[in-house]
Amino acid sequence: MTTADNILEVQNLSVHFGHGDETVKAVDDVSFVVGHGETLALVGESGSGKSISALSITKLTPRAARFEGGQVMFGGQNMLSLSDRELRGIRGSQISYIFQEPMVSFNPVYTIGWQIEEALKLHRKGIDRKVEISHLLDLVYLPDRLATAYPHQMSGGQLQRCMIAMALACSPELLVADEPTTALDVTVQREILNLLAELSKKVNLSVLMITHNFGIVSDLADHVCVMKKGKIVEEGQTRQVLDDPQHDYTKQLMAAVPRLHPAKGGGVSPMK
Amino acid sequence: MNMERNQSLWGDAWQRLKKNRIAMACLSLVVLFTVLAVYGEVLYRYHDIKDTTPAYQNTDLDMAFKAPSSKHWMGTDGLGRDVMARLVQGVSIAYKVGIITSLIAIPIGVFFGCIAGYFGGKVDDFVVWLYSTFASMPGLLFILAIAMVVGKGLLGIYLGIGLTTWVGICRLMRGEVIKHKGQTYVLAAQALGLSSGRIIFRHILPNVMHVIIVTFTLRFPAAVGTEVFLSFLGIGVQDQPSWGLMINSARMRLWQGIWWEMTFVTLAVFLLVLAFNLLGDALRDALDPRLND
Ligand SMILES: Nc1ncnc2c1ncn2[C@@H]1O[C@H](COP(=O)(O)OP(=O)(O)OP(=O)(O)O)[C@@H](O)[C@H]1O
Ligand SMILES: [Mg+2]
Repeated sequence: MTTADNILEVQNLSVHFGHGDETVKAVDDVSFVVGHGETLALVGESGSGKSISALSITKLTPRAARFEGGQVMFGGQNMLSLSDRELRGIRGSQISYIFQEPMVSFNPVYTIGWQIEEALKLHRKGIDRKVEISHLLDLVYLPDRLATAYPHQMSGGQLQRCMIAMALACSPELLVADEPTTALDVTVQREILNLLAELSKKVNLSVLMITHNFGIVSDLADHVCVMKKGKIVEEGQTRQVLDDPQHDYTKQLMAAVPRLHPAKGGGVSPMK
Repeated sequence: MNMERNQSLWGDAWQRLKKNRIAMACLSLVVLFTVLAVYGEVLYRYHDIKDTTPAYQNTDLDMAFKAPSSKHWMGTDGLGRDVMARLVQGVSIAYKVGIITSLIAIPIGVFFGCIAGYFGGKVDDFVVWLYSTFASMPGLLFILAIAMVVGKGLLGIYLGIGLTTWVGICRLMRGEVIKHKGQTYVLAAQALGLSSGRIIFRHILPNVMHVIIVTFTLRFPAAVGTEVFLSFLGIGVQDQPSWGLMINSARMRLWQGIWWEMTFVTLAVFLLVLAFNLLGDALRDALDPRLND
């Protein structure tokens, strides 16, 4: 694969915490790529290093994290060698994030509209922001009036829609979604996933999707990487991995998580 | 553009505050005190320029230590001066000490507390070292040293109290910011590409505003108390009536049954502090959208 095909190439990335005997290799020699317009799913148990990998892409990792090697190639540059200012220019405009818990992802003292505007102000100068905000809310099927609502006045599902609106506000090329539906009701999960799938098609968005849920993997992802203790233990085309998992760990994970729609899509049911 | 953003936060808070009766009563009281403070200041300056004796300095030894009457509603002091006139005049100094020292201490404390909490590491080490150094110096000595440099009077008091009391708010802010830094909304703001300054002062600060407001309201009694002490030591207010001086002189007469000066001054301090505290509480609540549905 050449760089031209991929929007993101993570090569031999290692991120550690702590020193000496206490060293935690949160991400240990990890490589993966996200193709243009494709969705890569990163699956693995809790603590396997999925979030740290995702945050490393724009160096949003906690202060204690040490980058011990590797590269994150995006737009022809190694993200790990960029200055803070350069990274800020890319965050939110070219690479956007959605987090697990929409209820705490918004600043409680500002309205939703204010917070979406914050993104627009930063990366899109010279547009009519009011118009753009209502356009963005339309995009995620929310009424305009919610622009003046505070986060606590909205449901988790509504907030996650707003989060998506905010993430897409500056037409990013890559969306990193860290378990975007884990904190939501099952019925709402489906809506949000459909929305994400629809929008990513519409704007040809590349997505790095982190999840526990093989239902999501089979419905949304083109490729999948399975992580365990900071390492990638299995990777491949989604269909291939789901139909014929090579690694025991992948089989365990598939067995552990019930599918959302076991009947749909013809993928192999992990229940077998 | 900045104004517009402020308006949504503070404008909404104001709408909520207006519905709170107690807050409005306290606000009226604060406004009244403010008017008195301005009046007192103008009066002082006017007589200072004209070189005349203001009413609150009029002595009349025949009238010394008179209990409250229709002529002197709050009685007179040992030199026959009207307690009420002096009390009203004292508002201005209490205000200036409370507010100006806050204007010095709070921005310093908030700034250092925020950057220490947010950036951690070396910045934090430096700030902690700085406030530990300040905290380990006896405050009074520091104030005395400043008074030696800038001379006796109010400027020394402002600088002395202001520069020694930022440590408390700095500690509080540092802790609060550390707490908030770990929250997802801050990570989300970072993921949007916002600068550290903007995240600290636009996103975190409004969430910890209550700490500043409460600190501000609690500073008043402390600042007035320190002013009392400094005036007593002779490095404070010299030629104007201050509540500190009044309490100090009234204290010694209390056993002679001269209760009025002490009573009314204490009452005034109490009302001022109460009004600021209740208003501060209400403002804190009004600034939190979650408490208002
Ligand atoms: N701030 C930190 N300090 C020290 N260690 C950390 C820190 N953040 C994460 N780690 C370690 O990094 C490892 C990977 O964490 P990460 O958050 O990436 O897991 P995850 O795969 O996202 O798990 P989950 O599914 O629970 O979100 C964990 O073992 C954790 O102990
Ligand atoms: Mg995680």
